[in-house]
Amino acid sequence: MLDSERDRIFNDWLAGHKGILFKVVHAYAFEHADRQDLFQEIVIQVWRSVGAFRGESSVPTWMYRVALNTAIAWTRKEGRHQQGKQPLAVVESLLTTAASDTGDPRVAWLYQQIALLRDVDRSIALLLLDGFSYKDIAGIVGITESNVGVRINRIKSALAGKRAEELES
Amino acid sequence: MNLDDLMAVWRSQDASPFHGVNETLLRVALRQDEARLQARRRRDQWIIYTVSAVLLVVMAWFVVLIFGMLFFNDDDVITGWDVAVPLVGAAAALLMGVHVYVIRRGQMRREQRFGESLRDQIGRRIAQLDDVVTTGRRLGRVALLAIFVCGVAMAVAGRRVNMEPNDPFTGWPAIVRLVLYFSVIWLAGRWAMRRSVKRELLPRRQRLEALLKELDTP
Repeated sequence: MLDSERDRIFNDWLAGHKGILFKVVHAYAFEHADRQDLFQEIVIQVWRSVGAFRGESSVPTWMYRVALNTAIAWTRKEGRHQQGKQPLAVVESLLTTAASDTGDPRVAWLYQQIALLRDVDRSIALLLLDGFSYKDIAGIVGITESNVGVRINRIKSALAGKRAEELES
Repeated sequence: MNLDDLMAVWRSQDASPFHGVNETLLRVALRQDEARLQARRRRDQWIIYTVSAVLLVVMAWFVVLIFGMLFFNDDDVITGWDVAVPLVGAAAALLMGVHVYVIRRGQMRREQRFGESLRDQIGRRIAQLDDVVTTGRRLGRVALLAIFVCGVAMAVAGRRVNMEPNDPFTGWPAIVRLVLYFSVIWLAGRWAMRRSVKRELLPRRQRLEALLKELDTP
């Protein structure tokens, strides 16, 4: 694949689906520096994965797959250690914060609840909320559909219970 | 609030995302990553070329030794050792090259068995960590064997050039010093490897195994 073609594909992906990356970063990293670090890691993995994309799944599915795989394997220390590198000074502000950071409080509440879940359930919650089917989720995560169903029921119950609890209080 | 409501809330952030991307810095970061990858590929290639060249030189040296012993031996006395040491050395160099190649191919085949799902990615990472540990141990054993074989070969060669009757062999201290020197280096290497496994590789492996366990537990 030519560099120019790779650039074009990557730019298209980023323009169309960067929201996926933001969501994953927000769900797995909680400090500003960590978010920068994880975003850098994910965006580089997406860039490297362009050549491996065979069109067997949709682009959002592929991007979620790459982003979640990177995020789950990521810890700040490990991420830096893996390639024996320090974070690039130039990417300190790679991820800019929009004015809407304090936007809809319900979205912030959802992120808070997602953060309480275990790593794998967090991935499933993100995929569920973005409308992926059980089959797609099972394929991305690598578990059976029935296992996905069990976990989703648990996630839904946890969210509903928490909501009800907060409304009561 | 049911799931549809939650999904509607969730999707509202697509219209006004929390973050943006600094496109210019992103370009710089990607170019730097590309340059780093290429540098690593070049370094790996150079290591392969260098190791191959060293092994070939070692083999050639041993082959030359055989012919040297056979054709240019002043005293015309050829013992079994004169042929055995070069032959074993050349064969060991060849075996080492084949062994490294087979290990590398095996690692690549193991990694290709995994797919793209999260479970496969975790499995691939565990396999990569295991390969690092296994290869390190194997290389350690090979290095120890090489120190022993080289020590024996030097002793044999030393005795061979000191074959005057009643002439004491004076090369022992130098051989012992060399063997001790390489043994210390080997011990230091083993200590560093064990430290790295204990501090970095093992915790990472345990974390990945915990993730796999989490996947298996509904």
